[in-house]
Amino acid sequence: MNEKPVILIVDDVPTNVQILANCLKDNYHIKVATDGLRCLELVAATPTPDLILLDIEMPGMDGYEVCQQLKKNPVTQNIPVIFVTANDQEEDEEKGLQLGAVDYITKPIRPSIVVARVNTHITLKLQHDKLTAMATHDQLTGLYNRHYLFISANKKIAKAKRHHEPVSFIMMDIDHFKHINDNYGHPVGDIVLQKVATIIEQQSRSEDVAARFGGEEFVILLDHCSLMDAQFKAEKYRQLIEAERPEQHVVTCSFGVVQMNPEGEAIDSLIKRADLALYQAKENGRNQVVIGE
Amino acid sequence: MEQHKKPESVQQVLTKEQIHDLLQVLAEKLQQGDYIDTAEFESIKTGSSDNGLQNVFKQLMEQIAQFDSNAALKTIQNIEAQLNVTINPGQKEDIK
Repeated sequence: MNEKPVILIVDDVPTNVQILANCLKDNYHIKVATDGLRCLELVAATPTPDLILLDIEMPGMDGYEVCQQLKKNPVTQNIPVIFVTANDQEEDEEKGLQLGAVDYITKPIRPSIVVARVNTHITLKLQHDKLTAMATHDQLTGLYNRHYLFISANKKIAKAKRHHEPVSFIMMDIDHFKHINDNYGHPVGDIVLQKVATIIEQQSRSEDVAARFGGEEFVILLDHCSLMDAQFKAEKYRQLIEAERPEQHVVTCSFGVVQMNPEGEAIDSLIKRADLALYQAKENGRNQVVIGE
Repeated sequence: MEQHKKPESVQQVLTKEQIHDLLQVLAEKLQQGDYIDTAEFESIKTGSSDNGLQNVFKQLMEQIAQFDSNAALKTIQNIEAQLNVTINPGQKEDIK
Protein backbone atom coordinates (compact mmCIF):
# COMPACT_ATOMS: atom_id res chain seq x y z
CA MET A 1 0.00 0.00 0.00
CA ASN A 2 1.25 3.44 -0.88
CA GLU A 3 0.88 5.97 1.91
CA LYS A 4 2.98 8.83 0.61
CA PRO A 5 1.04 11.69 -0.97
CA VAL A 6 1.06 11.40 -4.75
CA ILE A 7 2.49 14.16 -6.92
CA LEU A 8 2.04 14.16 -10.68
CA ILE A 9 4.74 16.01 -12.61
CA VAL A 10 3.67 17.08 -16.09
CA ASP A 11 6.45 18.43 -18.29
CA ASP A 12 7.68 17.53 -21.76
CA VAL A 13 11.34 18.29 -20.95
CA PRO A 14 13.03 15.28 -19.28
CA THR A 15 15.59 17.44 -17.46
CA ASN A 16 12.84 19.44 -15.76
CA VAL A 17 11.03 16.28 -14.70
CA GLN A 18 14.27 14.87 -13.36
CA ILE A 19 15.03 18.01 -11.29
CA LEU A 20 11.52 18.08 -9.82
CA ALA A 21 11.45 14.34 -9.15
CA ASN A 22 14.87 14.41 -7.50
CA CYS A 23 13.84 17.02 -4.97
CA LEU A 24 10.48 15.42 -4.16
CA LYS A 25 10.94 11.65 -4.51
CA ASP A 26 12.02 11.00 -0.92
CA ASN A 27 8.79 12.31 0.57
CA TYR A 28 6.28 11.76 -2.18
CA HIS A 29 5.13 9.10 -4.58
CA ILE A 30 5.99 10.62 -7.95
CA LYS A 31 4.11 10.06 -11.17
CA VAL A 32 5.16 11.51 -14.50
CA ALA A 33 3.37 12.59 -17.66
CA THR A 34 5.10 14.23 -20.60
CA ASP A 35 1.97 15.62 -22.22
CA GLY A 36 -1.50 16.85 -21.33
CA LEU A 37 -3.43 13.80 -22.49
CA ARG A 38 -1.30 11.42 -20.45
CA CYS A 39 -1.80 13.74 -17.46
CA LEU A 40 -5.59 13.44 -17.77
CA GLU A 41 -5.23 9.68 -18.17
CA LEU A 42 -3.17 9.35 -14.98
CA VAL A 43 -5.50 11.61 -13.03
CA ALA A 44 -8.39 9.31 -13.86
CA ALA A 45 -6.49 6.29 -12.52
CA THR A 46 -5.82 5.38 -8.91
CA PRO A 47 -4.14 6.53 -6.80
CA THR A 48 -5.46 9.99 -7.64
CA PRO A 49 -2.71 12.62 -7.36
CA ASP A 50 -2.77 14.88 -4.32
CA LEU A 51 -1.08 17.64 -6.29
CA ILE A 52 -0.09 18.34 -9.90
CA LEU A 53 3.00 20.25 -11.01
CA LEU A 54 2.03 21.41 -14.47
CA ASP A 55 4.14 22.91 -17.22
CA ILE A 56 2.38 25.33 -19.58
CA GLU A 57 4.26 25.12 -22.87
CA MET A 58 3.81 21.56 -24.06
CA PRO A 59 3.17 20.07 -27.49
CA GLY A 60 -0.50 19.31 -28.14
CA MET A 61 -2.67 20.28 -25.19
CA ASP A 62 -0.97 23.08 -23.23
CA GLY A 63 -0.97 23.41 -19.46
CA TYR A 64 -3.76 26.00 -19.39
CA GLU A 65 -6.07 23.65 -21.27
CA VAL A 66 -5.13 20.72 -19.02
CA CYS A 67 -5.92 22.87 -15.99
CA GLN A 68 -9.29 23.86 -17.48
CA GLN A 69 -10.15 20.20 -18.09
CA LEU A 70 -9.19 19.29 -14.53
CA LYS A 71 -11.26 22.09 -13.02
CA LYS A 72 -14.30 21.22 -15.15
CA ASN A 73 -14.40 17.66 -13.89
CA PRO A 74 -16.03 17.27 -10.43
CA VAL A 75 -13.76 14.30 -9.70
CA THR A 76 -10.53 16.21 -10.33
CA GLN A 77 -11.44 19.83 -9.62
CA ASN A 78 -10.14 19.71 -6.06
CA ILE A 79 -6.67 18.49 -6.97
CA PRO A 80 -4.35 21.45 -6.41
CA VAL A 81 -2.42 22.50 -9.50
CA ILE A 82 0.85 24.41 -9.38
CA PHE A 83 2.09 25.77 -12.66
CA VAL A 84 5.85 25.36 -13.12
CA THR A 85 6.74 27.33 -16.20
CA ALA A 86 9.18 29.52 -18.06
CA ASN A 87 6.35 32.00 -18.77
CA ASP A 88 7.22 34.74 -16.33
CA GLN A 89 4.96 37.56 -17.47
CA GLU A 90 2.42 38.96 -15.04
CA GLU A 91 -0.49 38.16 -17.38
CA ASP A 92 0.63 34.52 -17.68
CA GLU A 93 0.63 34.14 -13.93
CA GLU A 94 -2.70 35.92 -13.63
CA LYS A 95 -4.23 33.62 -16.25
CA GLY A 96 -2.88 30.52 -14.49
CA LEU A 97 -4.27 31.57 -11.13
CA GLN A 98 -7.61 32.56 -12.66
CA LEU A 99 -7.90 29.09 -14.15
CA GLY A 100 -7.79 27.69 -10.63
CA ALA A 101 -4.12 26.95 -9.99
CA VAL A 102 -3.12 27.33 -6.34
CA ASP A 103 0.37 28.57 -7.11
CA TYR A 104 2.68 29.62 -9.94
CA ILE A 105 6.39 28.88 -9.98
CA THR A 106 8.68 30.24 -12.66
CA LYS A 107 11.68 28.47 -14.15
CA PRO A 108 14.57 28.04 -13.71
CA ILE A 109 13.48 25.60 -11.04
CA ARG A 110 14.81 26.34 -7.58
CA PRO A 111 14.42 23.01 -5.77
CA SER A 112 14.16 24.43 -2.24
CA ILE A 113 11.36 26.80 -3.29
CA VAL A 114 9.50 24.03 -5.08
CA VAL A 115 9.79 21.73 -2.06
CA ALA A 116 8.60 24.44 0.33
CA ARG A 117 5.59 25.34 -1.80
CA VAL A 118 4.69 21.74 -2.51
CA ASN A 119 4.88 20.89 1.19
CA THR A 120 2.53 23.76 2.03
CA HIS A 121 -0.04 22.83 -0.58
CA ILE A 122 0.10 19.13 0.24
CA THR A 123 -0.52 19.95 3.91
CA LEU A 124 -3.53 22.08 2.95
CA LYS A 125 -4.83 19.37 0.58
CA LEU A 126 -4.58 16.63 3.19
CA GLN A 127 -6.31 18.83 5.77
CA HIS A 128 -9.05 19.57 3.26
CA ASP A 129 -9.49 15.84 2.54
CA LYS A 130 -9.72 15.12 6.26
CA LEU A 131 -12.33 17.83 6.81
CA THR A 132 -14.34 16.62 3.82
CA ALA A 133 -14.29 13.06 5.17
CA MET A 134 -15.38 14.31 8.60
CA ALA A 135 -18.21 16.33 7.08
CA THR A 136 -19.57 13.44 5.04
CA HIS A 137 -18.94 10.38 7.23
CA ASP A 138 -20.20 9.12 10.54
CA GLN A 139 -17.26 9.07 12.95
CA LEU A 140 -18.27 5.92 14.83
CA THR A 141 -19.15 3.61 11.95
CA GLY A 142 -17.26 5.11 9.01
CA LEU A 143 -20.41 4.99 6.89
CA TYR A 144 -21.70 8.11 5.17
CA ASN A 145 -23.71 10.46 7.34
CA ARG A 146 -27.19 11.89 6.86
CA HIS A 147 -25.81 15.08 5.35
CA TYR A 148 -24.04 13.18 2.58
CA LEU A 149 -27.08 10.99 1.97
CA PHE A 150 -29.19 14.01 1.09
CA ILE A 151 -26.49 15.54 -1.14
CA SER A 152 -25.89 12.35 -3.12
CA ALA A 153 -29.53 11.16 -3.15
CA ASN A 154 -30.74 14.21 -5.03
CA LYS A 155 -28.12 13.68 -7.74
CA LYS A 156 -28.73 9.93 -8.00
CA ILE A 157 -32.50 10.29 -8.11
CA ALA A 158 -32.34 12.98 -10.80
CA LYS A 159 -30.00 10.80 -12.88
CA ALA A 160 -32.17 7.69 -12.46
CA LYS A 161 -35.27 9.63 -13.47
CA ARG A 162 -33.52 10.97 -16.57
CA HIS A 163 -32.34 7.51 -17.66
CA HIS A 164 -35.47 5.64 -16.49
CA GLU A 165 -33.44 3.47 -14.13
CA PRO A 166 -34.76 1.90 -10.94
CA VAL A 167 -33.64 3.24 -7.57
CA SER A 168 -34.44 1.42 -4.34
CA PHE A 169 -34.10 2.44 -0.75
CA ILE A 170 -33.63 0.36 2.38
CA MET A 171 -34.18 1.69 5.88
CA MET A 172 -33.14 -0.53 8.77
CA ASP A 173 -33.14 -0.31 12.51
CA ILE A 174 -31.41 -2.46 15.12
CA ASP A 175 -34.06 -4.24 17.22
CA HIS A 176 -34.14 -3.47 20.96
CA PHE A 177 -30.99 -1.39 20.74
CA LYS A 178 -31.89 0.49 23.90
CA HIS A 179 -31.91 -2.83 25.72
CA ILE A 180 -28.32 -3.50 24.55
CA ASN A 181 -27.13 -0.08 25.72
CA ASP A 182 -29.01 -0.27 29.05
CA ASN A 183 -27.92 -3.80 29.91
CA TYR A 184 -24.41 -4.06 28.52
CA GLY A 185 -23.33 -0.42 28.38
CA HIS A 186 -22.70 2.08 25.61
CA PRO A 187 -19.27 0.69 24.63
CA VAL A 188 -20.98 -2.60 23.72
CA GLY A 189 -23.70 -0.62 21.93
CA ASP A 190 -20.99 1.11 19.92
CA ILE A 191 -19.42 -2.23 18.97
CA VAL A 192 -22.83 -3.47 17.82
CA LEU A 193 -23.26 -0.38 15.65
CA GLN A 194 -19.80 -0.85 14.17
CA LYS A 195 -20.38 -4.55 13.43
CA VAL A 196 -23.69 -3.83 11.72
CA ALA A 197 -22.07 -1.02 9.73
CA THR A 198 -19.23 -3.31 8.67
CA ILE A 199 -21.71 -5.86 7.31
CA ILE A 200 -23.56 -3.15 5.43
CA GLU A 201 -20.30 -1.79 4.03
CA GLN A 202 -19.00 -5.20 2.99
CA GLN A 203 -22.22 -6.12 1.23
CA SER A 204 -22.67 -2.80 -0.55
CA ARG A 205 -21.58 -2.01 -4.09
CA SER A 206 -19.29 0.95 -4.60
CA GLU A 207 -22.15 2.96 -6.14
CA ASP A 208 -24.50 2.38 -3.17
CA VAL A 209 -24.83 5.08 -0.54
CA ALA A 210 -24.89 3.40 2.85
CA ALA A 211 -25.39 5.89 5.66
CA ARG A 212 -26.00 6.00 9.38
CA PHE A 213 -29.27 7.87 9.50
CA GLY A 214 -29.79 8.24 13.21
CA GLY A 215 -28.83 6.49 16.47
CA GLU A 216 -29.34 2.85 15.48
CA GLU A 217 -30.92 3.50 12.13
CA PHE A 218 -29.18 2.95 8.79
CA VAL A 219 -30.22 3.54 5.19
CA ILE A 220 -28.93 2.28 1.87
CA LEU A 221 -29.72 4.01 -1.41
CA LEU A 222 -29.30 1.61 -4.30
CA ASP A 223 -29.28 2.90 -7.84
CA HIS A 224 -29.77 0.50 -10.78
CA CYS A 225 -31.60 -1.75 -8.33
CA SER A 226 -35.13 -3.13 -8.63
CA LEU A 227 -37.43 -3.62 -5.66
CA MET A 228 -36.95 -7.39 -5.85
CA ASP A 229 -33.16 -7.08 -5.80
CA ALA A 230 -33.35 -4.62 -2.91
CA GLN A 231 -35.57 -7.02 -0.98
CA PHE A 232 -33.07 -9.82 -1.64
CA LYS A 233 -30.26 -7.58 -0.45
CA ALA A 234 -32.09 -6.56 2.71
CA GLU A 235 -32.79 -10.20 3.50
CA LYS A 236 -29.10 -10.95 3.10
CA TYR A 237 -28.18 -8.12 5.51
CA ARG A 238 -30.77 -9.44 7.96
CA GLN A 239 -29.35 -12.96 7.91
CA LEU A 240 -25.72 -11.84 8.17
CA ILE A 241 -26.43 -9.50 11.07
CA GLU A 242 -28.34 -12.19 12.94
CA ALA A 243 -25.45 -14.61 12.44
CA GLU A 244 -22.79 -12.08 13.51
CA ARG A 245 -23.46 -12.15 17.30
CA PRO A 246 -21.28 -9.17 18.25
CA GLU A 247 -19.86 -9.56 21.78
CA GLN A 248 -21.80 -12.84 22.01
CA HIS A 249 -25.17 -11.06 21.84
CA VAL A 250 -27.91 -11.88 19.39
CA VAL A 251 -28.54 -8.75 17.35
CA THR A 252 -31.33 -8.48 14.82
CA CYS A 253 -32.59 -5.74 12.53
CA SER A 254 -35.90 -4.80 10.93
CA PHE A 255 -36.06 -3.50 7.38
CA GLY A 256 -38.33 -1.35 5.24
CA VAL A 257 -37.70 -1.47 1.49
CA VAL A 258 -39.18 0.75 -1.23
CA GLN A 259 -38.54 1.56 -4.87
CA MET A 260 -38.58 5.05 -6.29
CA ASN A 261 -41.70 6.01 -8.19
CA PRO A 262 -40.75 5.79 -11.94
CA GLU A 263 -41.92 9.40 -12.45
CA GLY A 264 -39.38 10.51 -9.88
CA GLU A 265 -39.65 11.03 -6.17
CA ALA A 266 -37.93 13.21 -3.61
CA ILE A 267 -35.66 11.56 -1.07
CA ASP A 268 -37.95 12.76 1.73
CA SER A 269 -40.80 10.76 0.23
CA LEU A 270 -38.64 7.63 -0.13
CA ILE A 271 -37.59 7.96 3.49
CA LYS A 272 -41.18 8.40 4.63
CA ARG A 273 -42.39 5.30 2.76
CA ALA A 274 -39.44 3.18 3.86
CA ASP A 275 -39.98 4.33 7.43
CA LEU A 276 -43.61 3.19 7.29
CA ALA A 277 -42.51 -0.23 5.99
CA LEU A 278 -39.90 -0.40 8.73
CA TYR A 279 -42.56 0.43 11.31
CA GLN A 280 -44.65 -2.41 9.89
CA ALA A 281 -41.68 -4.80 10.24
CA LYS A 282 -41.39 -3.81 13.90
CA GLU A 283 -45.12 -4.25 14.43
CA ASN A 284 -45.01 -7.69 12.81
CA GLY A 285 -42.50 -8.92 15.36
CA ARG A 286 -39.13 -7.45 14.20
CA ASN A 287 -36.17 -9.21 12.51
CA GLN A 288 -37.81 -9.15 9.12
CA VAL A 289 -38.00 -7.32 5.79
CA VAL A 290 -41.18 -5.53 4.76
CA ILE A 291 -41.78 -4.10 1.29
CA GLY A 292 -43.34 -0.65 1.38
CA GLU A 293 -46.32 0.65 -0.55
CA MET B 1 4.13 0.03 -3.61
CA GLU B 2 6.43 -2.83 -4.44
CA GLN B 3 10.05 -1.93 -3.68
CA HIS B 4 12.71 -3.20 -5.99
CA LYS B 5 15.76 -4.65 -4.22
CA LYS B 6 19.12 -4.15 -5.85
CA PRO B 7 21.07 -7.33 -6.56
CA GLU B 8 24.20 -7.44 -4.42
CA SER B 9 26.72 -6.86 -7.19
CA VAL B 10 26.16 -4.50 -10.09
CA GLN B 11 28.41 -6.65 -12.27
CA GLN B 12 26.41 -9.76 -11.54
CA VAL B 13 24.89 -11.59 -14.47
CA LEU B 14 21.21 -11.98 -13.70
CA THR B 15 19.23 -15.14 -14.08
CA LYS B 16 16.32 -15.27 -16.47
CA GLU B 17 13.98 -15.16 -13.49
CA GLN B 18 15.69 -12.08 -12.03
CA ILE B 19 15.52 -10.29 -15.37
CA HIS B 20 11.89 -11.26 -15.71
CA ASP B 21 11.10 -9.87 -12.25
CA LEU B 22 12.94 -6.60 -12.94
CA LEU B 23 11.21 -6.14 -16.28
CA GLN B 24 7.86 -6.86 -14.71
CA VAL B 25 8.40 -4.17 -12.07
CA LEU B 26 9.50 -1.72 -14.76
CA ALA B 27 6.56 -2.49 -17.05
CA GLU B 28 4.11 -2.02 -14.18
CA LYS B 29 5.67 1.30 -13.20
CA LEU B 30 5.69 2.51 -16.80
CA GLN B 31 2.03 1.67 -17.30
CA GLN B 32 1.05 3.37 -14.06
CA GLY B 33 3.09 6.47 -14.86
CA ASP B 34 5.32 5.99 -11.81
CA TYR B 35 8.62 7.82 -11.74
CA ILE B 36 11.47 5.34 -12.16
CA ASP B 37 14.80 6.14 -10.59
CA THR B 38 17.11 4.49 -13.15
CA ALA B 39 19.91 4.32 -10.56
CA GLU B 40 17.88 1.65 -8.77
CA PHE B 41 17.91 -0.50 -11.89
CA GLU B 42 21.57 -0.12 -12.89
CA SER B 43 22.14 -3.84 -12.44
CA ILE B 44 20.05 -4.63 -15.48
CA LYS B 45 22.52 -2.90 -17.82
CA THR B 46 25.11 -5.57 -17.10
CA GLY B 47 22.52 -8.21 -16.33
CA SER B 48 23.18 -10.34 -19.38
CA SER B 49 26.35 -11.95 -20.75
CA ASP B 50 24.87 -11.47 -24.21
CA ASN B 51 26.22 -8.22 -25.70
CA GLY B 52 23.18 -7.72 -27.90
CA LEU B 53 20.86 -8.01 -24.95
CA GLN B 54 23.06 -5.70 -22.86
CA ASN B 55 22.67 -3.05 -25.52
CA VAL B 56 18.91 -3.46 -25.47
CA PHE B 57 18.94 -3.11 -21.67
CA LYS B 58 20.99 0.09 -21.98
CA GLN B 59 18.57 1.39 -24.58
CA LEU B 60 15.69 0.60 -22.22
CA MET B 61 17.30 2.56 -19.39
CA GLU B 62 17.87 5.53 -21.70
CA GLN B 63 14.23 5.49 -22.79
CA ILE B 64 13.14 5.39 -19.17
CA ALA B 65 15.49 8.27 -18.30
CA GLN B 66 13.89 10.26 -21.13
CA PHE B 67 10.38 9.37 -19.81
CA ASP B 68 9.55 7.79 -23.15
CA SER B 69 7.18 5.22 -21.67
CA ASN B 70 5.77 3.94 -24.96
CA ALA B 71 9.19 3.23 -26.41
CA ALA B 72 10.31 1.63 -23.15
CA LEU B 73 7.28 -0.65 -23.07
CA LYS B 74 7.98 -1.70 -26.66
CA THR B 75 11.59 -2.46 -25.74
CA ILE B 76 10.38 -4.59 -22.86
CA GLN B 77 8.18 -6.48 -25.30
CA ASN B 78 11.22 -7.07 -27.52
CA ILE B 79 13.25 -8.37 -24.59
CA GLU B 80 10.33 -10.54 -23.65
CA ALA B 81 10.41 -12.09 -27.11
CA GLN B 82 14.18 -12.59 -27.01
CA LEU B 83 14.14 -14.19 -23.60
CA ASN B 84 10.93 -16.11 -24.22
CA VAL B 85 9.27 -14.77 -21.06
CA THR B 86 5.92 -13.09 -20.64
CA ILE B 87 5.74 -9.77 -18.83
CA ASN B 88 2.31 -9.08 -17.48
CA PRO B 89 2.34 -6.02 -15.24
CA GLY B 90 0.72 -6.85 -11.91
CA GLN B 91 1.21 -10.61 -12.23
CA LYS B 92 3.95 -12.97 -11.16
CA GLU B 93 5.09 -16.43 -12.28
CA ASP B 94 5.04 -15.89 -15.98
CA ILE B 95 8.24 -17.62 -16.96
CA LYS B 96 7.45 -19.85 -19.92
